Amino acid sequence: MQKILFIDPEKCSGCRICESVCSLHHEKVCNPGRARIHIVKWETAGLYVPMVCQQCETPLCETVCPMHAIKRDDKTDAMLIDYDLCVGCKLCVMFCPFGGVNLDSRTGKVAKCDLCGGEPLCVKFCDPQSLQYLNATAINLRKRRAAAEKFSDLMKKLLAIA
Amino acid sequence: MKESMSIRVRVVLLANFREIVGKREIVEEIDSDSTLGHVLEKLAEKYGRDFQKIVDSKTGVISSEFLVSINGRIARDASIKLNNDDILMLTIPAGGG
Amino acid sequence: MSLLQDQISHFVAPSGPAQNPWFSEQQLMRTMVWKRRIAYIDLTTGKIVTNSIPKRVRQLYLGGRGIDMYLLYNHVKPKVDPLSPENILFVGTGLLCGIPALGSGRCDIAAKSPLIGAVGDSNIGGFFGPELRLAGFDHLVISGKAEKPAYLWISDGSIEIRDADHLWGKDTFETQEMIRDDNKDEEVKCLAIGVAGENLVRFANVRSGMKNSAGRTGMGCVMGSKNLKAIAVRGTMDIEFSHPDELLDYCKEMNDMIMSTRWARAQSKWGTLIIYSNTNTTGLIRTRNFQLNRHEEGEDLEPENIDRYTIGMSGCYGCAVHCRHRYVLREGPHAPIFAEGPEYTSLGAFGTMVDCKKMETVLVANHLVNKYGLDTLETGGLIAWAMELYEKGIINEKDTAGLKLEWGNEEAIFDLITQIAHREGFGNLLADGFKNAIAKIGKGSDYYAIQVKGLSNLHSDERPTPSFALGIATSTRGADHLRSRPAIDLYGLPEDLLEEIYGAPVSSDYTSYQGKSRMVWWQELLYAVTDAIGVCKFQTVFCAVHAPNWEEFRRLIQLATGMGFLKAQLMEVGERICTIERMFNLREGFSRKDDALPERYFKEPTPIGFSVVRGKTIDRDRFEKMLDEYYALHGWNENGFPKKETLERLGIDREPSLMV
Repeated sequence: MQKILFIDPEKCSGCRICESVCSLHHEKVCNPGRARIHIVKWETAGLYVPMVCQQCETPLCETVCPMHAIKRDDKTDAMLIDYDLCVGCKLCVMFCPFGGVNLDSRTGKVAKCDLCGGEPLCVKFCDPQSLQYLNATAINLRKRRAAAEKFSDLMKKLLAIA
Repeated sequence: MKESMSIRVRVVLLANFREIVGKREIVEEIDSDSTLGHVLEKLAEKYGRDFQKIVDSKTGVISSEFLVSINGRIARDASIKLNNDDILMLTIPAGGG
Repeated sequence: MSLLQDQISHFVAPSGPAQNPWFSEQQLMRTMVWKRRIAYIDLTTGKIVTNSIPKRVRQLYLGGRGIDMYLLYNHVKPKVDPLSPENILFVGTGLLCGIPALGSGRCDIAAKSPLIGAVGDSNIGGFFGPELRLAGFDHLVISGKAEKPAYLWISDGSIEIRDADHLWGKDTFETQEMIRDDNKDEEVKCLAIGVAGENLVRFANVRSGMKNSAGRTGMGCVMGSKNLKAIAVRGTMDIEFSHPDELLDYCKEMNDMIMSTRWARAQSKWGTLIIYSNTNTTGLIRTRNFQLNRHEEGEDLEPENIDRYTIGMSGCYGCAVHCRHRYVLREGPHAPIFAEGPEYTSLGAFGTMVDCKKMETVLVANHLVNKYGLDTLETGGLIAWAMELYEKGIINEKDTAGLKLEWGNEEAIFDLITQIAHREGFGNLLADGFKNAIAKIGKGSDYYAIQVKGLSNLHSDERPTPSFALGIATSTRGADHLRSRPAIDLYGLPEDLLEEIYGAPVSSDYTSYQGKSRMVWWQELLYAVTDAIGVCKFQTVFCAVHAPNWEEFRRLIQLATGMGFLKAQLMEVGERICTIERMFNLREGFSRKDDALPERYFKEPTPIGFSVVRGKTIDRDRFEKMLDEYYALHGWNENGFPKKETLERLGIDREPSLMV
């Protein structure tokens, strides 16, 4: 069953541990700018949104890549960059609507989330569980249940006063 | 034969205990020869969950995960006898400043 | 000699057994910590010089507060006027800044304090520290005074002094927003002062983000005195660690361990406010300045009552606990307010000490002090003192220019906060802090001031807790609970466990004096090292007994930097930091007589609360005895002067040594 890196911004506390561990794991240094995930913040509103490659079903990065260097991984369904083929034209960076592909200024290479081969580290470290790695069907069910619970609370209140 | 009189103790509920019960304070009526352990057992039966984890059943010692005080004095041992109008505080050991 | 050999030959092991099991040539070369820069910025001449930080200094002081204190002693001349260009501001990231655990982004800001004339130092969380390190700098040394308002712009290895005329007069939120807009980069992090710092309010703080503050001792005032409105940084370089894979694994272990505990879960839900529930119920909270030791009508201040305003919880860099509330006030005369906090100390500053009963008062006041850039604690402490003077008729409405400083009068409090920030009316008198205000008011007002060395105490009532009382008396930066507070003294821990931790018998009774000087000394060393490595105290033994301390710090330092420390060597670093701070204060004229408590601690017994805390004063003789023991543990003589053999043992017998 396909798993998806699911983001729930409401739970994000803005601690940036995900950026730190992503870069530490992939690049062996701590540098949020070289992480494949980034927390976009609206400080005053207290809104923190993790942004990362969405591993699209019809990936624009794959479509525009002239070298066909971005390919689906069999195990995780993640879109992976084949660095033997990549020439660094950066079309993928330009075309991704989510900013999902980084240009690493240190290496000159592009980089993106590869789901850490099926055990995404950002998810492991995310205590508030703003980032989760879930089966595709589970996500929709969770959201439905969360919304239904609001109805349930309301029903309880109505019944209490009826 | 001595009749067992009842006494009342106030239990101030903080942190997770307040969350469970939904109240800041409750009053418990117990036998006059009750111990801290007896009261905690009663609360565990009523409310379950964290209340059931306060006392280590083997040693009779209060778990270090929680903080229990009687009239401001920290209680480690569930066998402490209680007196009428004692005030218990059930909380987490939260420190700092 | 090759460059590498040269570098290795400088790597002298610290005193004690010369063992460094983790160190190797490769690790030395790989770890970027040796390449980190220190920048000297002279605001008068505009000259900027950068340098590397000698490894010897890292071994002796680590980073953060450790190196800052070394620099303070070495570079700030004795008897300097703290508001003059000769005072120097130090900004330092912790040694472990950047690791994904323990809230590692903390930064230390130091100078000679304009409030107390002793060590000035304050620690700030949030995100500034890591950004500074990403820009390649670990320490900043800022001297002189800019001719007109300026801000520092730091980016990837370079520093500029830029014009800040357009920022002068702006509050701490606006300042940061404008700097981000000016540089068209939302990722810029700032340290900024508000109008309080511009107006040289002696306890003005330095702010970052929505609420992070380097609160105590007036570091914002020092920035204001230099016409330095802000320090802005944007960094995109790497932070390297010597063992990145093992570090990652160990950080996971640390985070998991901490988040599996009740105390961390409680903090991630209720923030530091949860402490109040425990301490007020017991009767350890100053109310009406010092008249009562419990806020009898303070239930609305308990953390459950912030829920109706909370929209989420925020965390600092590298912290899984996320203990800060994000709140919104949508109604009322002060709405709308979007803010962060409040902390435990604010509950006291604008709640218990001034006899306010509503959470909302604290929420409004917290936002005001953050906006203006005022130390929440000092502000509340001074206002509470003024209210008691007002009640006693020592000051009246004429002195306060019409402000009715009656207990619980929240509007008067909000007005006074604004006055203090702008140095207007009665606020102008309070803006100079306790020492100056006492001198101006006279009439026995000093008796009512709950301060040590000129710094306000927080809202805890230490009369029943000798260990806490010793802590605030001996703290190098005045009455302060973050230098040494052994909060775990309140947990009634088994005595065999206490003996194991502290190395000697310590009573498990928080009202006892037995072993408490050792407790305070041990915690003091730990917190000094905590501040030097730049992690958050709330994930150490500050909060809970089975929490990160010496062993965990050793391992993290080893994995992050390759430096090996035995536990005894790390404790020695703590001793060294504490002793060099002591030396600074002694040089400024402080002595044993300043390690004192306000007279009320000895004279007025606690009036209410449970019998275990009621009727308590600090016993003067036993206090002096604790002080003797505390000095002896530090290797200082009976007047609190470090002995010659202590200085030699710690390698600080030739200060100033100007190693950096």
